[in-house]
Amino acid sequence: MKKLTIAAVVAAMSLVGCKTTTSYIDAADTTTNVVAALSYADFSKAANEMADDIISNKLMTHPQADVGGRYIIYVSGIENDTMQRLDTDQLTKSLRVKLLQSGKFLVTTAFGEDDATKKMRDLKNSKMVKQASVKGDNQVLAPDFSLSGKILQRDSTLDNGDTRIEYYFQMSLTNIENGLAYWEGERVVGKVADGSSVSW
Amino acid sequence: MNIKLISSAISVVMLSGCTSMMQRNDFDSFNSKLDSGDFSGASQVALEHAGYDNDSGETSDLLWTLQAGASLNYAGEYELSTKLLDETETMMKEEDTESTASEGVELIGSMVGNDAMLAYEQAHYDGIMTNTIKAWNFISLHDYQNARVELNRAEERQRRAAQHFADIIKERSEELESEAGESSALVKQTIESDLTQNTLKKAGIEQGQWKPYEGYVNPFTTYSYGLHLLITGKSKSDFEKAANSFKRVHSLTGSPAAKADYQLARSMVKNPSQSKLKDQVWVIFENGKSPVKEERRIDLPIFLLSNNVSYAGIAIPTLKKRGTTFDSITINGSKTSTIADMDKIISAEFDQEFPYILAREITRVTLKTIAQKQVKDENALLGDALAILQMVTTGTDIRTFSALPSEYQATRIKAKHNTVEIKAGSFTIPVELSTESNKHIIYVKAVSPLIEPSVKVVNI
Repeated sequence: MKKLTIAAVVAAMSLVGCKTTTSYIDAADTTTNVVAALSYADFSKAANEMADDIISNKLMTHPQADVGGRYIIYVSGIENDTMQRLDTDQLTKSLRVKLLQSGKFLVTTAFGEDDATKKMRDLKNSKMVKQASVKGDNQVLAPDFSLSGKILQRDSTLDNGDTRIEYYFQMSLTNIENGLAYWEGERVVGKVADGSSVSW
Repeated sequence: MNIKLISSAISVVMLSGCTSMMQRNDFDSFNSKLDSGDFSGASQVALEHAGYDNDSGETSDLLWTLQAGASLNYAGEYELSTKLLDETETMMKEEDTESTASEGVELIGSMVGNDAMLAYEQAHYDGIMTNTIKAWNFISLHDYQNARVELNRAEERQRRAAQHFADIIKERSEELESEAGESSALVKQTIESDLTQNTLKKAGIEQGQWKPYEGYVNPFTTYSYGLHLLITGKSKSDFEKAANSFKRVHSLTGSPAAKADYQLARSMVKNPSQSKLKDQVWVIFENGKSPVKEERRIDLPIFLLSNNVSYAGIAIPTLKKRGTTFDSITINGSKTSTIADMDKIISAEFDQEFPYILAREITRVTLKTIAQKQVKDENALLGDALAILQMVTTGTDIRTFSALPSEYQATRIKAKHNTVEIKAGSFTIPVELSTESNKHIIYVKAVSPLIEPSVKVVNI
């Protein structure tokens, strides 16, 4: 009976020992807590590298940059061609933040993303609103560039049965005036995971 | 000691004998609802068997969650269907990653009873259809982005299936040899003997009759992938991929519908003008019911010593076809053609699995018969009791994803008016198309020639 009690206590203690306690991690660290799926670390790394690429690209410098000229970017759809349900904003948000922080670009949200720009102009006939404060027509700026892209996933089986997973982040910046791509970038994230089941 | 032996014997009898019988009852109640076209009722039965908790939304049984997911799709309850099928993916992953040790323990346990006691292990087509049904749930809800994710998953499962069938043969034979231990030579002798082969043949059980589609492809999944890209594609590469999918389906099935879609996709590659897709109406037809498993009992000659043969009863599953409902249906006179024969897909996978099911059953019967004879030499009464125990615990696993159709068919027309006419057997069904959309998919399901097929329209 005593032996049984000791065994039960040991078993209970070992169970307690195995439990993971909640702790903070560095979400941008690509070397620890790695998962087969796409994580913030992957999005953040790809977006930062691509933003640096865009900022240093000579073609993406406004001709009147010295006097405050900045290109306006419109973010159009990013296609999700992976095996995971993603919010593609995870990629574009980091990219937009960095582009805005560089001071070389502005991002428009007036076309589809944030309908307040259009809606607040409907206050023109409101008796409640001070009409002088209502924003007027002919003031919203049209974008110069469109940012589009795709996230792809390809899985393959290695000789040892593991799965090699590749994620491709592909993006383009198209000059809306002439339809030419002024910048294109690709970042590939590769991972190896256990092959006994699917990677999602 | 004797009491312990008797009580554990009774537990095994209860567990294994009852498991087979309960499984049969579960399937009867589900299939009878499905057969009458009551998809909502069928989904309720499946949810009950799946252990669905109304508050948490969780289930505990993989197969019945699959059945519930499929029948909810038929009933048009797409969101709950997707939620449940998401759960099945988690359960499948757990099954896939289960350690060899715990699988071994489970298999040893089943040696005392039967296969019906083992946890349900999904077939490859189960997983592929899970993602394909989810893709259609999303298409029906106009969520094309998530539909693409599911179709990518389904295609990845197809790739893994081909790889699996190449690898599995070696793995399985090693597993069984270790299970049978010293008796493995006897099991092998039983399986390979002419007596066994003739007995099985006489019972109408012939292996290797069914050939899978090349590369273990499910052409319905491939067709769905192609159709999704064709209707939502933006770039040349999307239409190129769509064309390749339809080409593959045509090469596997010879379907004129797949050929026509291939030609349309090719023309989109050359000149991607959306006007070519205007007023196009696709019909997807789920025809009939997929095969089910039935228990078959036969007396097989079992080798107990290299030259000592004893006849013992075994129970093995056989596939029973339930067949198609109609040869085809028509939309404005255009006839549907087969784009995927599910009977072929299911039978081919079963054919691959069958030698291992048979070997497991022969191993089980050999071990039980040897034990029974050894006990009988010392205690005749206990030996007889074991013989009865062996008889009662003999049973087979008849669990299968029975909610699927026998085959998928398709056709496409260019609609001139907003009303089209579907003819299925004696039924003529007018279908209204939304004037606000310019592409349409009509999804038809027929389970019986006596019941009007269900018709759902996706206006794109």
